[in-house]
Amino acid sequence: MAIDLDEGSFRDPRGHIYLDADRVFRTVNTTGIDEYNRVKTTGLLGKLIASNQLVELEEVDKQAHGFDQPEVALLLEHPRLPFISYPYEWGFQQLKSAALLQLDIYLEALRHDVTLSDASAYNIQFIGAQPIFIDHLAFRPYEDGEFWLAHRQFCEQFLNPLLLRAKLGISHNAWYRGTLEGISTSDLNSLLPLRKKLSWNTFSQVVLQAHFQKATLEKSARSAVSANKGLPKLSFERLLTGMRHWIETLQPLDSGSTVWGDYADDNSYNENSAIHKRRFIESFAADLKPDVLWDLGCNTGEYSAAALSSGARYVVGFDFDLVAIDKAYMRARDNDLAFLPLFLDAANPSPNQGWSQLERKGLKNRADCACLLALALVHHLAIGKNIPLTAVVKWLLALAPNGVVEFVPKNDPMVQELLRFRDDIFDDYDLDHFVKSIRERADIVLIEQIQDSERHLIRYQCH
Amino acid sequence: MHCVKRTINSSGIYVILTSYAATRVTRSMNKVTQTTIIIAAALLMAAEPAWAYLDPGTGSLILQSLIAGIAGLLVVGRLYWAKLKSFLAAAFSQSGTEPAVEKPSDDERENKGSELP
Repeated sequence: MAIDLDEGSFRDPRGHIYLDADRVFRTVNTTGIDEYNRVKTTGLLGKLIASNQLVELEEVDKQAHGFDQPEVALLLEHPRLPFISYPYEWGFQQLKSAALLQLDIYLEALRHDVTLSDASAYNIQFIGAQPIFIDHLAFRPYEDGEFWLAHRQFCEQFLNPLLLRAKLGISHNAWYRGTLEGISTSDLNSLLPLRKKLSWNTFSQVVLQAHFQKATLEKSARSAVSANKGLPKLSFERLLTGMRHWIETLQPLDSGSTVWGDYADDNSYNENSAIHKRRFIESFAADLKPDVLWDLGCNTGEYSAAALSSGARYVVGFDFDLVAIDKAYMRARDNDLAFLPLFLDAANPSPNQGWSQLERKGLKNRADCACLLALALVHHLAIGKNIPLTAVVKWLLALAPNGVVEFVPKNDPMVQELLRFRDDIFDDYDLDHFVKSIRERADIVLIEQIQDSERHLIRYQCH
Repeated sequence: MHCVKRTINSSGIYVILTSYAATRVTRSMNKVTQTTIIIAAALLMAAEPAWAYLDPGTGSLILQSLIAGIAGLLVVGRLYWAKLKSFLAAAFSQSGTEPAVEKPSDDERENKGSELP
């Protein structure tokens, strides 16, 4: 079989994901087929698909696609998503939207007498600003009185990272990227000061849960108890709706401005410059009409939106500033844009990691964009992070065969700000060196000096 | 053990948790603590049904039991509160006092009562 098993799809023995070029297949194994069929007859999957909460599915002929293993009972095909992102790349508002979707799906499932076997944040992806659930085998029939078995996982992967930012003003991204499984309740409990623990929600979900977990870990006991009723369905639903109401109210503690969050209204160029820049991007997007365009340093998504309005079909934006990411996400959501903004430190992009270092893919392994924008980014890497100019160009040009890069000269106020308290050790940081470095790898299609500015826009096409 | 619900005595847990809190104060917690641990262990073991590849975490399950218990207490509380209210209403109407607001008929009261579990 030439189709590859997705390396991240190994946890659930009931089925696996296989990738074949642009096609996505899911096997349903003999161990999972009964539950799948029982869930299907409830009408839940169809309802969630119709409301755009679950990725579409089509049952296809397994033999025709070469799936002849005896354990495969059924083959499903799903549409391929434009980009797979991870919770440590989401801003606060995206993680919150994903958490609310997870709870809405749980509540809808319970109404159909179905529950979910897990609450992994990796089961949620974004298409533009719309979160969507992708694991069709997470559903299974609900048995009366059973617990919310994925409650702890929900807390670790959704609730606790949100509380970290809402209660303490600390973003979840670096920590989440480190653990991959979110933030443990005991860690959060240790961090929260007493006065932040006094609400019933925080007390019960963080303090009590951490306490009970610790109490059972510290002592060993071996015995069993007989019979009973567990968690009544009504209590299960109330737990979910209570959690939903609480999460809806959470907002970042530091929701004031950051350095880049206000950048769109406060930069070193005037309106003519902005119009010129916008037209340059629009003509680039109109010429190439890329399926996927990456906007590195997207800020609040102004130029991503320009690219979308003139021919780009989908834009994945990246920025270092989490407030800008939230604003970009709001822009995408409010205007229904095919735009997915994500957190990225370009000097330290998401690596290949997890089990066997293949479970979660690094940025480079997910780079299949046709076009790239890198506006006002190069100086942050070359001067802010001391990365040699040629290395910056090499990295950018390897991401996409076509692109627009902006060069901000040393005398620009933004670069002067970066150099304010340090020696200028960047002798080769000038337009000539930059252009020469691009020419080594690509043709320069167009180069223009931005109106009323000394900045330049360079459109390239790789050899 | 196939499924959590068949192996856990949740009402037992509420009792144990309540007693547990009480014994933290009285310092006579040996027996109760032991029982708590036994139930916790049962929860832990019960949390391995055939379909679950996810460790649910014992702390989470105890918390859910507690929440279910509190919800149960509220229901019982509401039942007694309703009974008390209807008793007082009956007492006042028998004593001939004019009620300040229109009071529900006996039928309505019975219907209300029947909504409670």
